Amino acid sequence: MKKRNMIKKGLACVMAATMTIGLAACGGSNGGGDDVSEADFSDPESIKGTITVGGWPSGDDGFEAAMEGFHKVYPNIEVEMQFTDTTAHHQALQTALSAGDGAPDVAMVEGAHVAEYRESSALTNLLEEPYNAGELEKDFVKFKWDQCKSADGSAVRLIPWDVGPCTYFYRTDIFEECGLPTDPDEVAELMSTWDGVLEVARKVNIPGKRWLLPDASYLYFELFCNRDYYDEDLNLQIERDGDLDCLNAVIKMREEGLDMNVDMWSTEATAAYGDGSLVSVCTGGWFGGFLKTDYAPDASGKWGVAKMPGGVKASNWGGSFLVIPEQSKNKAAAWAFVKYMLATKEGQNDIFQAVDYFPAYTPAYEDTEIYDATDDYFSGQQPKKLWAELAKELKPVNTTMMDTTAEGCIYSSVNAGLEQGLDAEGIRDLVKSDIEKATAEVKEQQIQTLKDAGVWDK
Amino acid sequence: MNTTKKKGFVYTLKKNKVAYAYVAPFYILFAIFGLFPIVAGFGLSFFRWDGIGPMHFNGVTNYINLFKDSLFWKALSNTLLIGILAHIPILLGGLALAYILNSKLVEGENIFKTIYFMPMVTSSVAISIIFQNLFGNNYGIINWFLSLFGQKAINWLGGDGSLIKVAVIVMFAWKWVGWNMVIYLAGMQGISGDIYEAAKIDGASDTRVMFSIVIPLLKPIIVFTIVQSSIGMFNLFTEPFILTNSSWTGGVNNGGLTLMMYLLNKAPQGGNSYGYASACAYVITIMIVIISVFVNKFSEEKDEGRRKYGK
Amino acid sequence: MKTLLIGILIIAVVLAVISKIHPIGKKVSLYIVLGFIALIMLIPFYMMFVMATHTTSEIYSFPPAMWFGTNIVTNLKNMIQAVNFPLSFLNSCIVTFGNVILVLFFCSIGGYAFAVYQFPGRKVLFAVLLGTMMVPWTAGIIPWFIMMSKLGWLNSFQALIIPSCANAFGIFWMRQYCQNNVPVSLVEAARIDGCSEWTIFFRVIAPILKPAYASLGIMQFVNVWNDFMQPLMILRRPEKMTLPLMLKTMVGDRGTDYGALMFASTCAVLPLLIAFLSASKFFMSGLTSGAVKE
Repeated sequence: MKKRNMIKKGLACVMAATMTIGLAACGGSNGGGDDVSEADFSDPESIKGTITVGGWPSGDDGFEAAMEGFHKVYPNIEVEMQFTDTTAHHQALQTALSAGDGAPDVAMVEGAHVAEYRESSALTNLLEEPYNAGELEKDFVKFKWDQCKSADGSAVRLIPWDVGPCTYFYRTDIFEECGLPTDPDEVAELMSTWDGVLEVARKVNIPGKRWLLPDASYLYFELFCNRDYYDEDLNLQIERDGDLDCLNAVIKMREEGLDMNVDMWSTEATAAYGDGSLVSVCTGGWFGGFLKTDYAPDASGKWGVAKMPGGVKASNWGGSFLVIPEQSKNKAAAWAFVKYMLATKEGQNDIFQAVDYFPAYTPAYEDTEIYDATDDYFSGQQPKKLWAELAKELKPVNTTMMDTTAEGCIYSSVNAGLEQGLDAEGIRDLVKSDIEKATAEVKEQQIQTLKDAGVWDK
Repeated sequence: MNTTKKKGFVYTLKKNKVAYAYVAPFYILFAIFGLFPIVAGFGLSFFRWDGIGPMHFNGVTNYINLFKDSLFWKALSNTLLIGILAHIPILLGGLALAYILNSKLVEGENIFKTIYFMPMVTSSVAISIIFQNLFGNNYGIINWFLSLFGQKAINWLGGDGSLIKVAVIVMFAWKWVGWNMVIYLAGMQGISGDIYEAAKIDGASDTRVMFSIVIPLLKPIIVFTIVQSSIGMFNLFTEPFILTNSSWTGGVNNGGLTLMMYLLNKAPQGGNSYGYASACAYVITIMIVIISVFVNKFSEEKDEGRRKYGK
Repeated sequence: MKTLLIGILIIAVVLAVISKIHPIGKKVSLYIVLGFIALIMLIPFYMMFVMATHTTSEIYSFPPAMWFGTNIVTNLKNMIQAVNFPLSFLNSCIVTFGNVILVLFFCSIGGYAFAVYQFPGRKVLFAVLLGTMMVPWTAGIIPWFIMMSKLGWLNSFQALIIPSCANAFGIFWMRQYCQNNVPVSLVEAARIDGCSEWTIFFRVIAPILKPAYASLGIMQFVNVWNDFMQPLMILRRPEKMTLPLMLKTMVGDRGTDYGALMFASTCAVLPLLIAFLSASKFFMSGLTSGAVKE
């Protein structure tokens, strides 16, 4: 009797283990999807529920700023934020999508990743009923909207949020201290040539204590901010106007120790924006939000925004998108959120004013007082006006799945070239070969995607 | 007689059920979470798959592309370089420290042992974050120390990327030297004191005792640690990953890119190339298996060694 | 740099000479060498504690801060604001204790069965078990991940607890221990007393296995507690993160508050470090038991 008992217990034990596994398996397999077609978007109050929104900073600060307006229109939608850093967010999103579970209802997608996501069947096609996102096309900056279209043009799975006109962020107080102009136009004028840039770099430099830029290679990086790494036939196009002059300036700057020689996103650099060891940085307009909320919240009135140095043409760095995963259980509320935040003047402008995400939604520009407003954080300048000007000059670009990888190569290859003492052409060749090596596999995948969509005939 | 045998048989059968029940969980779990993924991985390595869309069979293309990818070779050479160079101080340092602490020349050996072993119980992430700071370009304590001797700041974690490996090696050696030391120490304590006495009476120096007595006697243990380390180095990931600011490409010029980082970055962390990543995993596995073959060879010698010295 | 190298060389030569001259000289130079290495081992810990008491800009200054500062309370506050430390600590505890308890349970019954019972197929099964120790888990890492995601185990602790809860090494090791320490006569005696097999294991065997439980438990505990790669793949939501992941998220786009980060690192490292320091012998034998005892 006892023995039988014991056997039972032993077996029960094993069963328990297998059951745990089995049950969990069942629990996890239910997909998402809800009946969004019943939602009545003409009656905002009828849309209810809690949605989660995932992304990276400072998007959450932007949403918070626009939340009051959102709740006025949609009083019955609760929003939960799940924010982490950019890389972690994209990785989490991607795995949640392939797992079919665990993704937020609304997720941010960074500009460089757009080509990977626009083909993904795990995201909701917003051209379909009841979203009818096609109606919104005319209201968005064209090149941004074009990036959202799938290869065969049958789907739009992302809605553009912002464009990131590249500008030059600089410390007005330190410029003044060093006898340099502080007015953005004068700064741009002075630094419009690479010699001018070097001159400024020498003036502000205190060896071992203060540097003009976190890493000089980002000057070269700016030439690629518009991306367009590959043409339509997926050939790498690495040569840019004035790229060799730019690289020569970069080489010189590194030789003379005028840059801090750390990645602009490294912890050393992010601390240095706050304490004045870094005098300037070239990046997209959204960086203003980073400075204000995270890196240097105490430095109000000490920063300025000017056009890019070295005569770099208008370019766009990043700019995000929002997507609604197919697995979302409350797509109606998710769409209401996306639509309010990105496709209304109020939503976009509230976000813009809070975190400097420059709207890709053109009707937002009608609120001219916002765009002409002076910004106390930026020493009473009018950075929004500058970004608006630059945004008009942005040209359409070809985006591919290889963009993120290619982008990652530039910083590392230029730095490697600098260490090896290569000349400008040598560095450019190195960048080219490194990108080609690093993107080989992704390129195959991109071609596969285009083949699947029936638009690749090479 | 007959009855007892019969009873014995029934008894054994029932007893066996218990035994099977006791050992079954391992085999069940291994089949589900070990065997199945390994087999599936082999199949997957012949496909191109982004994890969501359709799977495309593409034969051995993944393997060919992998071998054609210079980044893979870079990752392999980094891994081997870090693995091999880091183990020189770990092995030699561990042996030397164990010998000193075992020699009864110093007191308070437990204090030293404890201090040397401390890194082993500390999270690699925390350690890497601290070392990232210590190796900092402008504010790191290592560069500060070197500056006292007139050395210009060295950009350990940036530069052309080659020094990232130095930082990883230093950190790795720092972490593991204590572990090896404790193992060797345990081995040395198993060696009879008479042997030392005899050698001392013969007038042998410490170096001689070390090389002609201790090391040969410890050979099985040393081989074991070498084998463990060489398999372990293929899993090297956390330290270079954190040191290079979670870059996935191993920092400047892929200086800190390891095989595991390369693999995970193809999928699921970053890339979507699940088939390609599986192929990569299999290639790494084959390399580990090759080393495991050496394990078997060495462990045979190990048994001989044990028999010889009656340990 | 040259001065430094020459200096090291001179010190080395002096120490070598001293130790040749006199036994006491030898002792002194050994202490110097041991002490120097101990210093190197301690400096990172010391710097962590020091930095935990400084503001980020104090940490990023030259020369770096070498003595304790006054910012510890602010760092604590910033840490609380940035991350949910108690929750991550709890998550780490759930994963680690869950895994360790299951490992000890499954490995000890498995090891005991192999050591004490004679059953058909025992040899073959044991050979298979040993064989699985040779199979590198790397081979299945991608399908393993896909499996976890299809099971819906991403962001759940069972993905970190269950797959590894019966490990071959643990069973092997428990078998060795049982063979050396569990007299078969004891099992027989208990059987004669009418105990069920189950009771025998729990009442009679398990207490004998205590030292083995402790060693295997410590080994498993330290490994799981400090693991980074598997949690990184599995746990992607802030509320599920274990301590190492939580530390990693503190380095991010928001700019890194190094003071708070160091404070958090200290808090994350300290519990295990204190446990280690208070029972270091025990820990060392436990963690190296896989290598030393065969």
